[in-house]
Amino acid sequence: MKKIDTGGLARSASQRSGMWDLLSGIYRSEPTLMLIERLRAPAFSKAFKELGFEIAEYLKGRSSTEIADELAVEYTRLFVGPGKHIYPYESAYTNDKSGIAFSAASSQFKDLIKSYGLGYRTDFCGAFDHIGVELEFMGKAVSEEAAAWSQAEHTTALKYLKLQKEFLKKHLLKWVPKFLEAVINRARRSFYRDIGMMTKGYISSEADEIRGLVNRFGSKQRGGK
Amino acid sequence: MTKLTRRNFIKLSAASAAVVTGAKDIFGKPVLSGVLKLKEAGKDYSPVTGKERKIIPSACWQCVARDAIICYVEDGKLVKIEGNPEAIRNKGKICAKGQAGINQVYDPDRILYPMKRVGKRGEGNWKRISWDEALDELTARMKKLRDDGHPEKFMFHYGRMKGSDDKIIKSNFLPAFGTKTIGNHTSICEGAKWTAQELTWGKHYDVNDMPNTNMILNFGSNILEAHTSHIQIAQRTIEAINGRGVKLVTFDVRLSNTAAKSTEWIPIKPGTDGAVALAMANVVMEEGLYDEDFINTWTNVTVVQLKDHLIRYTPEWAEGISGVPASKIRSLAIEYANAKPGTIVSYRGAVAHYNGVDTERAIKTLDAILGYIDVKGGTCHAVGAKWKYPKTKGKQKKLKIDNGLKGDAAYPTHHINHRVFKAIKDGKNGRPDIYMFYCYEPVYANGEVQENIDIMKDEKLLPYIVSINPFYTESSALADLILPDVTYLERWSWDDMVSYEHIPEFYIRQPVVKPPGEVRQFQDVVCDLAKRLGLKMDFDSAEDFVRKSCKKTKIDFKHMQEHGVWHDPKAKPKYGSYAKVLSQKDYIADGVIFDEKTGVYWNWTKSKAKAKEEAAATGYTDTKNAYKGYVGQRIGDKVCAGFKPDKINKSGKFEIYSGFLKKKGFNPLPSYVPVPEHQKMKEGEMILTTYKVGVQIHSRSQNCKWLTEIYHDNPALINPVTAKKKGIKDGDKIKVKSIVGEIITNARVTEGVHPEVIAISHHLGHWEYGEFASGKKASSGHRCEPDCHNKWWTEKGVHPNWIIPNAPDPVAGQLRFMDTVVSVDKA
Ligand code: SF4
Repeated sequence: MKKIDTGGLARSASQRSGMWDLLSGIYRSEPTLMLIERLRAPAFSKAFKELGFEIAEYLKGRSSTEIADELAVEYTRLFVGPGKHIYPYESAYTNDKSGIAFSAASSQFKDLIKSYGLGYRTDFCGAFDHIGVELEFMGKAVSEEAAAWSQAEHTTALKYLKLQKEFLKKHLLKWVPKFLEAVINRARRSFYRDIGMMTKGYISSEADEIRGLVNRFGSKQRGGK
Repeated sequence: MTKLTRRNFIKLSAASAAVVTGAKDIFGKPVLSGVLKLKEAGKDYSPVTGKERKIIPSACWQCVARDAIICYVEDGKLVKIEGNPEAIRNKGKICAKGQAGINQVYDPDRILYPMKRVGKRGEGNWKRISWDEALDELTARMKKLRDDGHPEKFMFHYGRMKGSDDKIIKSNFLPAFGTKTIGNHTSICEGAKWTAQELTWGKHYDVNDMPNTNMILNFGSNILEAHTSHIQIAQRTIEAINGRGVKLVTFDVRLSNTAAKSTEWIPIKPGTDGAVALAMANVVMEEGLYDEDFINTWTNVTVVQLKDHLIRYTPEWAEGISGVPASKIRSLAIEYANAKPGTIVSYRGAVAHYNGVDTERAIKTLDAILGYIDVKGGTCHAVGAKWKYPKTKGKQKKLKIDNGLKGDAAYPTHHINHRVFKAIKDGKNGRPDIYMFYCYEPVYANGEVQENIDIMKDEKLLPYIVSINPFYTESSALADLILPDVTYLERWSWDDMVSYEHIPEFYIRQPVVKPPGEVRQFQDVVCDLAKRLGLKMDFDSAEDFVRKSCKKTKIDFKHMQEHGVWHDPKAKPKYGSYAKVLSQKDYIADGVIFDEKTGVYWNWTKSKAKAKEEAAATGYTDTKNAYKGYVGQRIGDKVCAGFKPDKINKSGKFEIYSGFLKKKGFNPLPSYVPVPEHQKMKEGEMILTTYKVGVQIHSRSQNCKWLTEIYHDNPALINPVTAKKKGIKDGDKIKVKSIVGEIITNARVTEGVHPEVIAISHHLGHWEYGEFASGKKASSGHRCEPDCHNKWWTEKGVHPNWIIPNAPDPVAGQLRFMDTVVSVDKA
C-alpha cells in the first residue's frame, strides 16, 4: 500500500479551511476596509482571474472606503432589508417556508452546533442558521481535519471528513445553491455576483473532494477489510 | 467565462489561507466560540429549557435486530432514542420502530401490578395483588410439582428471549428447577431456513456480505422494511446499490418497498422460489460457470452428479411453475455467475412453505456451486458476540410436546411451537400443570387463532396459566396470573446479535428510566422465585448477572455502562474459515476418533455414546449428539475446520446431498416439491400471503401510538386483473375464507401484487393490547400521557392468522404461513 502523505493532506486541509473562513467572513457582515485591502493582494487578483472573475477589476482604481461604503449598501439591500431581500439562513429554505428567522428549525440548528461543543458568541443576534455560521462551522471542521492529519491521526481525520460530508449533505447543499442563485441574480455589484458564483463553485468542488477523501480513506477503515 | 476547476480553487484557497490566518479584524467577529469536538456518543438539549439531556446507551428490542441505541432522558423521562454511533453493527442508525420505543414505556395501558384472575378465565375480571401474594401462589404450585417428582409439568414458553435474558432462564433457572418442557417460537418465524442450513452447511444463520458483493438476489425478503438484522442489512444494501451500483433483484409475490427500491422486481408465484433457484443452478452447470474446485473439495457431490440431477430443472420448466420468464432466469443466472461474488438473501417469502427447506437448500446450493460461500462479498456464516456467563447445572425432565404431534416433521431442529397447543389437546405426551408464557403471544402469533383461544380457555387442558407481560395482550387476557414485566428500556441484559461487519460486537441493555408501578424485570423475579424454591444460582439479579458476565468475558462493565458497546479493535473478519487447516494436536487428542465413512474427526465423549467402542461401531452419523464432538473434516491429506455441524450429525463438508433427508424418504438432493394444496386449487381460489411493513413489528408494536397512528389499517392487496374477474372494486368489503375460518376486510386493488395472491399484513386486528392497538382500554390501564386522549383513528385492521392453519412443513415443521388457499368474494 502506498504511504499516505499526511503532511500534504494537512497542508491542503488548512488551505481549504482558510477558504471556508474567507467565505464565512464575507457573508457574515459587510466587508471591512481591511478585507478589501487584503483582497487586492496580487495572489488574490491572480487566483480570481484564473477562475474567470472580475473581482479584481471591481476592487481596482477606487479608494477602499468608497468600495466599502458601496458594498455595505449592497450587503444591506441583499441580505438585511428593509423590504424584499434574500433570506440568508437555512430554515427559510427548508422545513419552514415562512421565512421567519428564529423558528424551531433554527433553534434545532443551534442545538446541533452546541452538540459539537461550540457556542454562539454572546452578543450574536443573527439567525442561528445563518450562511456565515454554517460556512464558519465548515471552516472549523476542515481545520480540525488538518490538525488530525498533521498528527497522522487517520481515524480522527476521517471522522472530521465524514462530519463535513454529512454537514454539507444535511445543511449547505440543501439550501445554499438556491440562496446563491438569488444572490447571483439580484446582485447589482459584480462583487457579490462573483462571490455568489465562486461560493457555489467552491461548495460543489469541496463536496466532490470530501466525498473522494472519505471514499479513499473510509474503505480502508471498514472492519479492516 | 468562469473556470471553476478544482485546480483554480486550490490556488484561491492558498491565497485565502494566507489572508485569513493571523489577521484579526479582517472580518466581522466570528460567531462560533469553542473548539469543535466530535460527538462521542451524541448530545442533546431540551428545546424548552436548554438543559443538556442525560445520555444512556442501551439496546433496542423492538425487533430481533436489537440495535445499539442511545437514550436521552430529561427530568427522569425518556424523550428521545437514537442509534449509537459507536456501534459497528447499526452504525448510529435505527428505524422508526426503534424511535417509537418510547411509546412502550409510556403506554397508558401498561400493567403496573401483579394481577390475579377473578371469575371465569377470559372474562376480563382481575384483582390487583401484591408480589408476595403472587409469588407465594406460584411457588406453592411449582414446589408441589417438584416435590411430586414432576418438574416437567411446569412449561415455560417464550417468544422473544435473547442474550442474558435467555441465559438466566434457560441456562440457570429452568435447569435448577428441573424442567425442560420449554417452548420457543422459531417455527412461526423462519425455522425451515435454519433447518435447511443445518442439513447443508452446519450452524444456522447467514450474513450477506453487502459491502463487498457485486450482485444481490433476493428471494422473498423485505430487507429494507423488516429482517432479523433489518437496520444492519438495509443500510449496507442501500450503500451497495446506491453507492456502488450493485444490482439487487427481488423475487416477491408483492411489490414490497424493498422490491420497489430494487433494480428489478420479479413477481413470482408463491412457493416456487425453489424452482427458480434450481433452474439457475441448472444454467450454471450447463454453461460451465460453476466453481469446480469448491464443488470437488468442499461439497459431498460431484459435478457429474449435480449436472445429472439438475438437468430436469430447465428455465423453461421453471417458467411453467413460477411464471418467471425462462429468458430472465437464464440471463440472471449468467449475470449472477459472473458477478464473482454475489450473494442471495432469502427469508419467509421463500421458506414459509411446504417446500421451504428444499427452497433454502436450493438457494444455498446455487451460492455453493459458484463458490460464493464464506467469501468476501458472498454469503457468510454469521458472527456474534460470545459471552461467558454463570451457569447452573441440573437434571431436567421434559414433556415431549415441543415438536407438536407425532410425525409432524422429520427434523424439527427449531421445534414446532405452533403445534404445542395441539399436542396439549391431544394429551398423549402429557400436559403441563403450569403453562407460563414470556414475551410470547400464543393466541395471536400462531395460526388458527380460534383454536388457540379455545385451548387456553379450557381449564382441563391448561389448569394454570401465567403470563409474563408488560401489556394486557390477547393471550394475557386468558391467563390466571399476570406478572408485569419491564419493557426493554427498563431492563438489564447483555446481548449478542450477529454482526454484518463479521466482527463480534458485545453490547448491553441497561435501564434508561425506572419502571412504573410495581413492575419488575422477570429475570429478577426468577432470582426471587429460586430463593423461595430453595434453588441455588450464582447471581442474585439481572444486573448482577450482567456484571458477572462482563467479568467472565473480561469486558469492562463501566465501559459498557458508558458506551453500551464494545468490540475488539484488532479483530478482523474471518472469511473462508472452513478451509482453516487444523494442527495435529487438535485432532489427535483424548476422546477424538476418526470416522472413515464421513472423514470426520470427532470427540465421542461429547456425544451420547457410552463407550469408545460403541461410538466407533455406531459411527459418527448415527450416534446421538455426535455433532457436539465434531472436531474437523479430512480434506485430501489435511484436516480442516470444515463446515461445522450443529443439531444434526452432518459431516464437515457442505452437504448438497443429504443422507439425513434420504433416510426419511425425501430426495437427498435439493429438489422442487410443489405445495400440495396449490396443486388442487379450484377455479377462482387464491393464495393468501402475509407480510410486514416498515413501521410495525409483527405483534409487539401496535401499542406504540406513533407507529399505529401511521399504520392502523391493512386492506387486502389484490391485483386489478383478479379483482375485475371477481367484480371487486377498490375499497369493497370482501370475505376471505380458508379451511379454518373466514375474515372480512376491505380490498385494495393494486398492481403491486401477483394476480393469484391476496396479501394481508400481519400486524393488526388486535382485540386487546390497549387502546392504541385495539381501541379497548386494558383492564389495568392508567392514563399518564396527556395525548392519549387524542387518538383520532378508529380503524384497527384485521388479523390474517384467524384463517391460517397451523400446518407444519414436513422437514422442519415451519408454519406454512404463505401456503393458505382461500376463496375471496365480495362480502
Ligand atoms: S431494526 Fe428498528 S426496531 Fe429493530 S432493533 Fe433496529 S431500531 Fe430497533
